[in-house]
Amino acid sequence: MMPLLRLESVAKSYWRGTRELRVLTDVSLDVHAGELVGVYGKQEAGKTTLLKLAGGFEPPDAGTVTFDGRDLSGVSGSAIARLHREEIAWVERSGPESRELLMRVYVALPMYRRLGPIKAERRAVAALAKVGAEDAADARWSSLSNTTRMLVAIAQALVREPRLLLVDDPTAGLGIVDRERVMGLLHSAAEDGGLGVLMAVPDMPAMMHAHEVRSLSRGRLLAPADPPPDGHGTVVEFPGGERSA
Amino acid sequence: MSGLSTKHVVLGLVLQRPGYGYDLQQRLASRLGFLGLSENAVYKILDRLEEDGWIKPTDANEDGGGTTRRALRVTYEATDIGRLRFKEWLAMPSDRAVLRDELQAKAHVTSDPEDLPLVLRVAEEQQRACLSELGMLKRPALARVADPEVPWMHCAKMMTDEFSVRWLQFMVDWLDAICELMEERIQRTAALTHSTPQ
Repeated sequence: MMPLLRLESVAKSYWRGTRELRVLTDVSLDVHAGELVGVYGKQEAGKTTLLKLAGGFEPPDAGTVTFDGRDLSGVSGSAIARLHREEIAWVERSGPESRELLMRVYVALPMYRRLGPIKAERRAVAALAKVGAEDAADARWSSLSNTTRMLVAIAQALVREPRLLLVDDPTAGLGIVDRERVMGLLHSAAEDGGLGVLMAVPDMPAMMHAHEVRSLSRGRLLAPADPPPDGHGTVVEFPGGERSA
Repeated sequence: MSGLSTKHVVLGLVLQRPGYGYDLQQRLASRLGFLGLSENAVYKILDRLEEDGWIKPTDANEDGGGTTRRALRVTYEATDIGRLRFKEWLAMPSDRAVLRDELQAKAHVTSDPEDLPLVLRVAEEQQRACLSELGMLKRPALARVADPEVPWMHCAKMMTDEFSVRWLQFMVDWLDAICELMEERIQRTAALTHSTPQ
């Protein structure tokens, strides 16, 4: 099956004056529809850059990004903008620029042009209810808890019924119970909603919900090792952990 | 696992629900597999618990005589003393895991610079193994483990998973840091060799 999203040997550097900062080196990754792929990495590991390249928000220096069979480097600016309105949704955690906006309006914004205000708001309220944040519909961003903000952000991404969801650090600032809630939501968006979800996290417990687990380390993307056939060698001794082999 | 009292763990299982040897061993294996207790070990523990008077066979057991205990399926329940000892154990400070990794030992006996690339490769491999372990820990979403309607067992499982996954995170981060260090050192050594005039 053709993946929804494919990154092939992607590289990216940023320049600080004359110094080149290699953020990503030879990164390859597939995300299929219905799959939640998690990328683990510390601060500054290049997670956000990886997501930006995956969504076509920034071009790679080398390699290709293919969404639904189309090489994003060959897609025009306006077509990319349409993709971002309709098919590729970035879960935006920073909230609305206008602090006066009610969440039912904020969540409806991506749909205003397509559906008109009344239908768009109806869709927004439904999207808020779907993520369990119906109480936020008539509230303002400043009055919301971290968890509700995350749920609203997810609703605002899901309202456009995208095919690919990009989420940067969905569990930041959340406790263990709310982390479970948010991760459960992303998991079911992939599994029940059929979306491809690519998330980056600096906190490994969130990765347990992912269908595929990768780690971004020194600019490269690590894949899990094949389990060693003889059960020793590089296996880590696990105090208190369940032995799985 | 030096100080972990398997005796109290088995006692706790009997307190949760009376059971016989094989049944208790199955419960241990499914929920506390990391303790690695065999069926035989469980029988030995049950003997000690009975000698100490912390558990006793339930009244339902008939004294068949002659047949082995396994065939008879002696079901045990906790005594009042056992209940008291169990609470005491719960209230005691818990033993902490001892963290040890072979790679640390390897690092101390490595000859620099010729062995360094090999140790680096091993560390990178170990990092990928950690990711694999994480993959095996994956489980379906537990919507709200704090909800009293959800059986406590799920919450307990979550606590063990959380331990394992955070330990993995620690390992991945540690390996990341030491790999970076070794890589940098290897590069600088190479640069030094190239730039040294003959």
